Parts: sequence; C-alpha cells; structure tokens
Amino acid sequence: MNRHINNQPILSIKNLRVIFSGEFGEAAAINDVSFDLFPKETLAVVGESGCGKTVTALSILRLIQSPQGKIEKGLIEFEGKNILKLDTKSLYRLRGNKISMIFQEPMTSLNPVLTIGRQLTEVLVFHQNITEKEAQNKTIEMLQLVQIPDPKNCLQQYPHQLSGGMRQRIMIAMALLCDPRVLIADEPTTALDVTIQAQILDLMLEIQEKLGTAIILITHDLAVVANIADRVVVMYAGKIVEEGKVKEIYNNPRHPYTHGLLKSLPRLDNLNENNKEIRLTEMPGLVPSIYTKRIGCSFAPRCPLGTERCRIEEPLIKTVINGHRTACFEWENIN
Amino acid sequence: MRKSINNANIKSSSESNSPKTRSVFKRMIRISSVRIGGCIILFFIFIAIFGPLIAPYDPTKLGVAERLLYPTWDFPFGSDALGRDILTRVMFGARITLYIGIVSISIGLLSGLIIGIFAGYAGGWVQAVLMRSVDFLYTFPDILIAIGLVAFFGPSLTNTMIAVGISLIPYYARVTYSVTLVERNKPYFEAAQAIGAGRIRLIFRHLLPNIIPPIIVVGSLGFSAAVLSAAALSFLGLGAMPPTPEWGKMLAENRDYILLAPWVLLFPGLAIMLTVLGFNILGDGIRDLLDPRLRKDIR
Repeated sequence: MNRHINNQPILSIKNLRVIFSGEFGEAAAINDVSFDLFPKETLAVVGESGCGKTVTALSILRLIQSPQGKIEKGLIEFEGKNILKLDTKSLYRLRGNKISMIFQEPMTSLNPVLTIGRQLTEVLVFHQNITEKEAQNKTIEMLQLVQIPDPKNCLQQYPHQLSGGMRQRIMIAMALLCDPRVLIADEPTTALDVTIQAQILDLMLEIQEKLGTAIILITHDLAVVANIADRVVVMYAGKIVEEGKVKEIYNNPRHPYTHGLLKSLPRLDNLNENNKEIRLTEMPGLVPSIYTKRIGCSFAPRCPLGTERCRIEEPLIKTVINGHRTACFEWENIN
Repeated sequence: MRKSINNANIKSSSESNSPKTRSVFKRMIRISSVRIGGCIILFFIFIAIFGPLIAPYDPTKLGVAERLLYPTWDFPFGSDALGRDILTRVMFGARITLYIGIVSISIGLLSGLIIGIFAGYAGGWVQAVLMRSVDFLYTFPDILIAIGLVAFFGPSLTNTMIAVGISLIPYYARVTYSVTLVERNKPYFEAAQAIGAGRIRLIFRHLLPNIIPPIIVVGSLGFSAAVLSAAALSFLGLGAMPPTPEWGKMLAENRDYILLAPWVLLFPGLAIMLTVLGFNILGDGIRDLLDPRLRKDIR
C-alpha cells in the first residue's frame, strides 16, 4: 500500500503559479500548487472544468502558450533538475522521451497529413539513436501492445482512416514509445465511449505494470479515479484543496468540496430508510472566475460549512492525518 | 468471424494501398481534375515550345493589305490592325506569357509563404513586424507597386516579372499567415511539441504539409492576376516591348478595336482564360492529391 513511502519523488512540483494575461487583466490560472509524484504510482488530478488541471499538466512540459500565459514562479523538479530552468535543447530531449503526454482530443491530436507510421517512428528517431528500420520494428511492437490489429498496415494509414478509440491508442503508443518515466494523461478517455474507456484505462495500467511508468491522470470522472488511482489531488479554482490516498479521500473527505463532489455522484443503491429514492445532491453556485479578486477561501461562497473566518482568511493546505492534506479550517466538522 | 472480416479487409487494402507499386504519376492521373488541367497546361507548354516551328507566319511581319481581317482559312484567328496573323502571335506569345506568369507567381508565392509561415509560427514582435510591413505593401494597389519597382529598376521583362512577383507577396503572405494561425492552434501541433519536436521540425514537417494544399489552389488562381499585371505594365511601356507577342500586351494594344474586330481580342483573351482555367483545375487536383483526407483512391 505505502509503496512509495521510502521513495524519492520522481517529479516534484513546488509553489507553482501560472498567470494568463487577457483583456480583463492578469489572472492566476493556478496558484501555489505543490505535489509530488512517486515512481510507479498513479496520481489522479480531479476537479471541475477550468480549475487548472490542464494548465498544471501543460506547465510540466512547459507547453503553456506564451506570451499570453506565463509560469510566474515555482519549481518543477524532475530527476533532481528544475524543468523550468532547462535550455531549449534539453527540453526537447525531455518531451516525449522522459515525460510524455496524452491529449484530450484523440480526433485532432494527430497530424492529418502524415501517416501513422511517420508520426510514430519520428519520435523514436529523434530521441534515440536508432535507424528507421529498428524504429519501425519497435513501433510495430508498441502497436501490438496497445492492441491495434494488423499494426503493419496501420503504419501506412492516415489518421482519418482510424476510429477515435484507435487514434487514442495510437496516441498512447506514441507517448509510450520511449519508455517515459512519467506519463501525463489529460482526460484520455473523455472523447471515447464507455467500453473503449475501460479498455484504454486497463491498457494504461497494464503498460504501467510492464514499464514502471508513473502516471498523472487528469480527469473529472470520479468513478475512474476510484478504480485506477493510488492517490488523488483535488483542485478547485486553481488551487489544491485536498490531497490523499484514494481510500482516504473517498471514505473520509476532509474538504467540503470533495465531500460535495462525492455526494453528487449518482449511485445505484441510493434509497433511504423508507426505500424511497434519494434526490441527487448538487452543489449550489459556480466556480468563481479567475479574473475576480478573491479574499479568503475560494470555496467559501458555496460552502455549507463556511464561517466568517473563511471569508476573510485563506486556509493554507496542511497535513491533517498522515499523507492526507487539506485546505480547510473546518475539516474536523465534515461528515 | 470478426477476425476473418478483418483479414479480408486487410488483404484488399494492402493490395490497393502499397505505395511502392503505384507511382505518384499513376495516382495523379487517376484524379480527373489532374487529367483535365494537366492536358490543358501540357497543350500550352507544347505550343510554347514548338509554336515558333509550326506557326504559319512571322509574328512581327506587317501587312498593309491584311489589316483587321475576319478569321478565314488563310488567317484562322484573323489579323490585327497592323496586318499581323493573330494565330501566329498567340502561338509565339504562349512561351513568353507562361514564362512571365510562372516566374512572377513563384516569386510572390515563395516569399509570401516564407513570410506568412514565420509570422504565424513565431508570433509576438516577429509577427508584428512582418505582417505590418506586408499590410503596408497591401495598402497600395499591386499595379502601383509594380509600376514603382519597374520605374526604379528600369523597364525590362525580368524586372517586370520581379515587380509583379513582389506586388503579389502581400496577398500570399496574408493567406499563409491565416492558415498557419489556424493550423498551429490545432491539437496536433501541441502534441508534436509534446513529443519533443524542435522548431525546424515543427515548421517543415508538421505545419508546412498542412499549409501547402490551400496555398496551391490560391497560387493557381493568381496566375491570371500575374499575367494581367504584366500586361498592364507592358501597356504602360514598362514591360514587354511593342513587337513582342505577349498575350496581355496583345489585349492592351488592340482594345480599341473591340467593336470593329472582336477577334483581335477574343483569341488572346481565350488563350489567357484557358491557361488560367488549366492551372486552376490542375491546382485543385494537386490539392486533392496532397491532402490525404481528400484522397479518394485509398481503400
């Protein structure tokens, strides 16, 4: 269970702050985000749309679009080196090689005018010193691993000839070709139907087992998280509000936002004592815009436990029970 | 069951889909627009090369007795105000007109492509400097730029082609720039960055192949504009000099006779129109060929 307890984190993010400047002025998309990723673990990052999950993922590879977006401060340490300080060449060598990413939209994330084969072997040829022929063999092996029928023929096809599920497998294969240490999967299954979704997730876990990759899984699907993640980071309005092991978070949420999220999940057995169906609970209100000035806890306006203190003072994230961190003053009063 | 269907599929597709057994040329002539456009262009290229050998008369020989004749067996396209055979002049003109059109389009297209793609890729101040300079050029009518440049460099056919080419840059730069912006914001571009592609690779391997197809179509449309600009320059005495049988020049020289003897304008005009049409159809076909999404012959 605690397989990472003595391990050094492979990726460590400290006090990351990313700002975007738009027509309404500057806004912090993520603010003071810190977390660690340990070898071989699956870390899920959850939260609703616009809470900064994708921005966090993109900043790990320094893919934040400049000049609008900027990593203002923070540290992203990978194998002891700060990614934010790397020169361009080392950065190119890191991307797709040591750290790779699977994107949200499998339908459009492949270059439409290049064959699958060219796009896949390209990764190998420029990250590893191997010939075209060897790259091709390795690519075919990888396509077999992601269960593409007839990989040889697939290499000569163009993206539009493949279905969404197939393209997502290709994306996964591409991300895994160089045996990366860290795989960032940004909602890898949102564009797919449920059966394919399960297959893809199983596949990722299987490959993790085989290659020992650490996975950051970005999603808003809590059911998926419960199934495959080891640890969970819950984000709200650009900040981490709770972090802990999956079981801990699901059984004993220590932040009212997480609590609300879990309560709003539909269940098959949602009957009360009189065998009447319970209405699905919802959280009132909306995520605050990142452009509004905030004082106190960002969740306070929607929080059932909000006190006067929450509206004035911002709760800092702190460890409450071993490995379980939360950013709430009232954490003891939940449940 | 499923396996066998899969296998059947694979078999048929690998038979018809192996790129080595079917050459690019064979693929090209399968597309009907490439066939039609190609035939028209090949016809004009043939005329351009062999026209002088098969033309019935001398293109510059004047004939006082043969002025403004109807098309007859002796003069199939009629004759112009100076008694020159129009068929002969159209045949001689093919070489020079194609040459002007192709060279000036290439200058404008290539420079515009480079400016547009770098502006679109780099963004920031590079984009601002490049695109504002292009906009500055764009505010002047093309012909005015061309006149200015020819006046500056001195009138000659080469300078005319360069001037027309430069006057076309803003148009191609703008189109390329907007296509580049669209393409670089697509997820595949970000995905290519995420696998560690460097700048050169991003531009030449990922962006360029996506940008070329629309540009080819736009470029083939520009041929007519280039020929007409060159003709206008000739008309002003800045391009091809009088006896030279250039199509645009022939239109310009003879426009006074449009009511009296329409054939003097009709045939050079038809020649320009057919060439432009040929380039357009061919461009369309090549676009289809380059863009795998439109390729019909796979599977």
